[in-house]
Amino acid sequence: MSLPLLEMHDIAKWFPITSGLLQLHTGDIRAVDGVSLTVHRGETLGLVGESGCGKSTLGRVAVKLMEPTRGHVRFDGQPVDRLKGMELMAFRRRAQIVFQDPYGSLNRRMTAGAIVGEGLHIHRLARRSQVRDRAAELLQRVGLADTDVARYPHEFSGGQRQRIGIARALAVSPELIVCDEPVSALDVSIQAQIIELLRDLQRELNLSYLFIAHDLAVVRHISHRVAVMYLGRLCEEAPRDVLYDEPLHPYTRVLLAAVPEPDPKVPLRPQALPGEVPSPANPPPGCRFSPRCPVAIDVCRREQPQWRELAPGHFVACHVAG
Amino acid sequence: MSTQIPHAGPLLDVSGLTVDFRTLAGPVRAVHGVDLAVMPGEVVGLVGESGCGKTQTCLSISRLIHPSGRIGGRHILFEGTDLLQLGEREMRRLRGARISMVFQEPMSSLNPCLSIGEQLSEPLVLHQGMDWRQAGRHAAEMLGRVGIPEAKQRCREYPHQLSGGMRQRAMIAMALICRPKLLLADEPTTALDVTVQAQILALMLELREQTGAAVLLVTHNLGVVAQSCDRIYVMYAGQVVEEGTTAAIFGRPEHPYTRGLMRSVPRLRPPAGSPDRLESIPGTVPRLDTPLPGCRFHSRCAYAEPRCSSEPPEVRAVEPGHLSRCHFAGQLDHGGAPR
Ligand SMILES: Nc1ncnc2c1ncn2[C@@H]1O[C@H](COP(=O)(O)OP(=O)(O)OP(=O)(O)O)[C@@H](O)[C@H]1O
Ligand SMILES: Nc1ncnc2c1ncn2[C@@H]1O[C@H](COP(=O)(O)OP(=O)(O)OP(=O)(O)O)[C@@H](O)[C@H]1O
Ligand code: SF4
Ligand SMILES: [Mg+2]
Ligand SMILES: [Mg+2]
Repeated sequence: MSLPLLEMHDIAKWFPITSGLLQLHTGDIRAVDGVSLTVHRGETLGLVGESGCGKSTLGRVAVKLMEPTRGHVRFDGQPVDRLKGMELMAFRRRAQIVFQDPYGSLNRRMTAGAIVGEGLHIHRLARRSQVRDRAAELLQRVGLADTDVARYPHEFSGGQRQRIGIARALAVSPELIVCDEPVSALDVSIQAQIIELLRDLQRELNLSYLFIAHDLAVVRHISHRVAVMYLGRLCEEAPRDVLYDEPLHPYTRVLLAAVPEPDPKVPLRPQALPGEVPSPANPPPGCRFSPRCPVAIDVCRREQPQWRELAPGHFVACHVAG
Repeated sequence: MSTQIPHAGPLLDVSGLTVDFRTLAGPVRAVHGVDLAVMPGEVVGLVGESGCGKTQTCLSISRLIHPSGRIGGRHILFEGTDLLQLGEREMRRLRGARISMVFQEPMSSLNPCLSIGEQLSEPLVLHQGMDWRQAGRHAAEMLGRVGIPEAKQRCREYPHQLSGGMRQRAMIAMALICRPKLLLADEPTTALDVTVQAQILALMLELREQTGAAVLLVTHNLGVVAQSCDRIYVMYAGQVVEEGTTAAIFGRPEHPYTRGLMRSVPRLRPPAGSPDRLESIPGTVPRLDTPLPGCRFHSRCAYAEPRCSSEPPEVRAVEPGHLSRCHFAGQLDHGGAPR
């Protein structure tokens, strides 16, 4: 296969915990703790997992909004941590992110037009006179009105703000977009339109997506491959249909079984995971899922499972699986 | 425990609600005559197109809309009291104690300068007269119940240090901590994985069992609606277009918009031979800053007839408790195939 566009190798990101007046360093939140993944050109890698397991942190490291504590990121073959000057500037355009929290990530004092047009200015992709028209066109592509360029973030609904974030990322013709929960605030019809828009753009422009979401049906629809994360590490990765039809990791199975059916005749199976929610500051020894795993055996509580390829492209970190 | 005499009839009765905004581009009517009722102990779903006015409806009930907006309408009765007539001080006493709200975007409503523990304790100190120590203990316990590990440590942290889903759960803990009678929950589980989502829904249903609380649940997740709501209101462009029991809305959707919505739901296990593209409702919502004659859905409706573009449809009952705002309510399947 060709060179991946994004390559993340053994990434860790720890946040220090401090306490007391002296802000003594008393431990670390291991938000991401040894994750490797790749995204090829024209490909979508879906990333799902427990909330708080480190998906957004990983996404931020991918686009260099955060430096990893360990490991390295390559973009188009180049180590990202060595990018400087023009190359760094180009990277900032080529790799975009749609943030999970639309409200927090939009500048309240700028109009939607200015927010979407900002990148066009910075990267000199459009003449000053064209920026507004281009922004209006992008807003229309995500289902907003061209006249919305003049409105401020607080004047939009949650889902409308989310689409402003998508338009902003699309504006600068990126090659990779880290989409962090990009459609969670949209009704299913607009969500379908946005997903098909992303897929169309991918086909036209050979775009790559790292697509983070909790909605497993949406992830299935847009992804080529899917990776499942739990407490800072990957537990399974497989081609899309394989992961959904033949999940191997016990956590993946629990996740898939907990999806509520859009049909009131199918009752919700009580699927709360047993046991204490583990803490990323103090991960359990052995397999991180072992304290809550329905099929754990002794070795699971002692040894960290290896990342094994059980079928072509199907990786799993579990002592029991396979 | 409340010493008030339980009051018969709906806990919440909203009638003719309107919300208007002044903007630089002119006036916008975001909510256009919404009628909605919630019975004590009922879980009611509010669904609809992005931008159709769900959040503004909730914010109007707790009277928290943006200062550039104006709430109008006949009344918003809560336990028999008209909230539209209450002064700001009385409203503040209700908010956080008897009516509480989970906001759609936690970051916009959590205070970045206060620790999570302080924010959780505050309503207990304000409304229940606890001291800060005692409130702090309750706060940590509540955080634990919404599934946040090491709740004591987390209480000392600030919103930016939490993941999206933890912020949302902190918000939920804050809304539940005073055991409200009415919970307005605006997309409470969007940032959560499905197992935590199930846990939060169970917690809300448990609150209802224990305290008889009612929930108005805004969500785009039709799986969540199907699994937790007794009744559903479907909104489109500022109006309620369909209302009915969960079984009726899912089993026999009557309004063309509801039908389009149901068809657009992505499937976890798509049946063999389903098309590669997700279905959606063609077109976009009409603009809310210009008057709309006729049915607000007509330009996108597969069933529209000429009269739909000029005559606004009335709300009609297709069966008791199942209402639809369409000229052809009850006859959609007899008037020929959709075009
Ligand atoms: N700036 C920060 N300082 C301290 N801790 C942080 C910071 N950002 C994230 N964390 C912690 O890192 C862990 C992972 O957070 P992250 O936001 O990556 O999770 P996530 O998988 O995106 O979760 P969600 O699905 O809830 O959005 C959490 O425990 C979080 O509290
Ligand atoms: N401050 C404001 N000024 C002008 N228009 C506003 C303002 N706040 C909201 N609106 C408009 O009011 C309409 C209803 O907004 P609301 O937030 O209630 O939508 P919603 O149904 O909650 O949508 P979503 O599902 O996307 O959150 C939207 O079209 C929005 O653009
Ligand atoms: S009134 Fe006409 S346009 Fe409106 S939903 Fe009914 S058929 Fe469609
Ligand atoms: Mg996140
Ligand atoms: Mg909303």
